[in-house]
Amino acid sequence: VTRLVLALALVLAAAPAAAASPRWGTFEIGAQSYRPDIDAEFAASPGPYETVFGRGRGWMLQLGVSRAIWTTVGSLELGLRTGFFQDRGRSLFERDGVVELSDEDTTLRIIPTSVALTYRFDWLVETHGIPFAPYARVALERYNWWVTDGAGRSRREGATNGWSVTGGLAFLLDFLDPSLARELDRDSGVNHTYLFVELTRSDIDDFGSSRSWSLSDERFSIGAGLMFVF
Amino acid sequence: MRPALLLALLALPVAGVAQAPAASGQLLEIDNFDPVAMRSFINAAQCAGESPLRLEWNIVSLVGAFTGGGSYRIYSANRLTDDTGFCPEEPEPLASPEVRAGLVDSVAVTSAVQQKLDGSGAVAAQRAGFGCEVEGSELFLCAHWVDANSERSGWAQGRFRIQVAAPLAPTLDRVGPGDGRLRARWTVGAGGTVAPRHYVAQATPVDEEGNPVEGEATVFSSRTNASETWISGLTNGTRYQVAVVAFSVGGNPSPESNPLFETPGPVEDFWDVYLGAGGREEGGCASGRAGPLALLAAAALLVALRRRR
Repeated sequence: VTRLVLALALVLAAAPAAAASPRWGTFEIGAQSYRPDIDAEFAASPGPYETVFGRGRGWMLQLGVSRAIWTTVGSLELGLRTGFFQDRGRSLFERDGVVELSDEDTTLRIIPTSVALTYRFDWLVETHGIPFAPYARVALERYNWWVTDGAGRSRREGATNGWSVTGGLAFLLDFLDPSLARELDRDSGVNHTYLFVELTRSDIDDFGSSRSWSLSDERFSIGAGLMFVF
Repeated sequence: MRPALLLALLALPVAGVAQAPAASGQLLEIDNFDPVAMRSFINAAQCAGESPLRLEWNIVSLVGAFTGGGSYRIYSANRLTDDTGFCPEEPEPLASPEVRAGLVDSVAVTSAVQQKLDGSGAVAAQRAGFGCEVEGSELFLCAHWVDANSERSGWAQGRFRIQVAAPLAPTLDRVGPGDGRLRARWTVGAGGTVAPRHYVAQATPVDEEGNPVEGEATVFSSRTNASETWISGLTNGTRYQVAVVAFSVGGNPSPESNPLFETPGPVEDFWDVYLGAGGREEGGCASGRAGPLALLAAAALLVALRRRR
């Protein structure tokens, strides 16, 4: 990851605001740690999720595109986001009254979709060349999920809605090589390239429905990725 | 291994081993053709006459369009006739003492692409001057189209290698239960003169003492190049003895691996486990009342932002 970031930093470089092409919005690609809090509804431990999938956290890949709707002081953007998460475990098998893991796989797969409103304070970047831009995001989430059996067949599918809030800090990679960044802007229209890290708190339980499980993260999700302003 | 079992294994569908139809001018062994080396094999069972050669050829016509009629004559030889696709034919005078050749079989013409499933590998090897004990001997098999006027009018030929050595037996490391199936994992037998090309796992129903149950058939997996496979179509609750056999590129089977025993049975996937624990999720969409309200609020926000612009 470090090498990738450094390589991208060399390629995607800065463009002064005065010379930048018109801005439309942003495109993001990244990943965040994730573990659904399905076991929260069970008093017994381990719950079914831990029994089948273990205790580890996984990674949710994420993509997003946003349209800038206000750029006077900082940037307010409205966007759509999606991604993919999968956890793979073993189905259970009972032998002589003892439950053990079988050789059959079972998976939980999630495609999150969301409508997000993001405010990024990039005024310092645009006016003073300070390469940091904090941001905050609120999103309405819809996690489309399905469970598969050992043959890969879908056993059950559904969608769980919720919301999330995110806070993060974006570092302007253009700062490392402004001339390359200008060249990239001329060639492809990418004004800026940011490396971001963020924390997300999600609440994905169909807004408290008594018939839904919780796909909220057990705790804060830590995410990172690249954001292209174009 | 009993010949019937061997035949059953050899007749299994191929998984991961490319089987292409014969190209124009090509004659190949259907089961033992290596498309990378463009060479077929005559394995130990075929060379001993215990298993048929399954030949397929695609004739190149030397007289314009293929018209059919006449017969195909299958020859084997240790070399091809110079500048042609034909094998030397006996009893014609041979060009040199080094040429060894002979008629193996003949069959009536039905098509330019034709198969013959009972050619004898032993005869082919002998006609080319080899014995089955000579590992790695190379020979050619040719199909000569002799038309209705007894003119030699077309050919197809293929390179063959005699392979009588078999891979070492793999080591069966683990057998795991599934729903109506078992998963076998193994490691390749170390050493040996012939590398394994593919594997077939087998499950035999056994009683409590490990003896095969009379009247119950052994179930085979499909061929695989990997080091694990599922054996499907088993009966839950029945105890099986599992073993795996490695095959060379020529189709020679190794001895069976060490046996392991396992019993397939019903399994509970994550959804079963979740429901079994008393989970409340029902699937589908089950938003609480706040869900639609939040979506309406989002829609209103979008409209408001749109108007401001």
